Amino acid sequence: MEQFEIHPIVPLQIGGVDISFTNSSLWMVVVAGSIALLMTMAASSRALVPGRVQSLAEISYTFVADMIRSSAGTAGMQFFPFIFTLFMFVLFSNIFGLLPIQALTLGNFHQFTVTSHIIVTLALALTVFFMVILVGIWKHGIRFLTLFVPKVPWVMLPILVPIEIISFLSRPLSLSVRLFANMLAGHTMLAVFGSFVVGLATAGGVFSVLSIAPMLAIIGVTALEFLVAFLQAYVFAILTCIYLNDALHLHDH
Amino acid sequence: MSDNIPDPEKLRDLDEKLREARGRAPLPREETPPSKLGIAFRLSTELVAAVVVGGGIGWGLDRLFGTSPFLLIVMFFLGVAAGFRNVVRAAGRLNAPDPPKRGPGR
Repeated sequence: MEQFEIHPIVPLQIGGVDISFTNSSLWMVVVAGSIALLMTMAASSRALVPGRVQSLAEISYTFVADMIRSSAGTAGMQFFPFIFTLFMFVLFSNIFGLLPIQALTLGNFHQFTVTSHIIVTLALALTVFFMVILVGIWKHGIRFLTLFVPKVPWVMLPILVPIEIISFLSRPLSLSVRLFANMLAGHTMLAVFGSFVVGLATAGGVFSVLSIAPMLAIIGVTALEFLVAFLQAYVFAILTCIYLNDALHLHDH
Repeated sequence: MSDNIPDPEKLRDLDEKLREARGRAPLPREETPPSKLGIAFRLSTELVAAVVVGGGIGWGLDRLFGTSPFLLIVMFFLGVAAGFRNVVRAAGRLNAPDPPKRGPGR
């Protein structure tokens, strides 16, 4: 489908590797730029009684800070910059994908959801995964490996240790697939309902009148998609916190 | 910074207003309630991911050692078990989202 297609804007090849600047890259730049702009604008006024933009920034700060404190404790706060960046990037990517930019007829420039591609979400999830491992080793050294040894009678260990390891290895997969599949499914659903509208409207007669039904469904689904966009960013960030908490506090929680 | 030194009088006024507003409506400071669909999706991905990873490891080891299909079968079942473990853990977190109160059951 067109909204998931990637096409190069500036074709680029280095050593036979295709590293073209694509529409996906462009949207990542737009997302990162908007976040940076929003945050600098918010920080520049520093009013005691915040204005709209500053409120927005402060609310997102408090939201993420509360989330980290409640799920990874105060020790998790040293990872605030990382988790905040992650949360904002995913949230803005999700929401920007819902903006009706194509309807504004900006030529070939149409909306694109960066997070609807598994390679992007997998890269994010793997970053989290390796960071959790590094933090664990940095904090606990070799004792980090006791994460895979649950407190059970030793007879059970030969079965439970592989299970724990598989469970640990499955984290980046479930983390990335969840975000990617939610975004993909939402946009596909919108596209399918959209094709119903067109199909019914051009069918003529009583069908044209019926085309209002999928149109109403689209409105509902769009509202739902905004909820999903926020919820998935939240889930991604809070799971990162929970994984970091595991690495920070091993078993003592 | 320097151009908006807060006037203490105004601040006290604001404080008064804030307290009044808080008294009127108790702040809804609850966590965002995860939707049912979200929960279902979370748990299913936890399960599927572990099965896929377990099966994948088994398949890879089989190719490495030429023991096909025994390791695949063993690792697949371990993956299923790991998936259940993931689901139980995630569900436990959903039931008790407050970590300090999280009991030994985790």
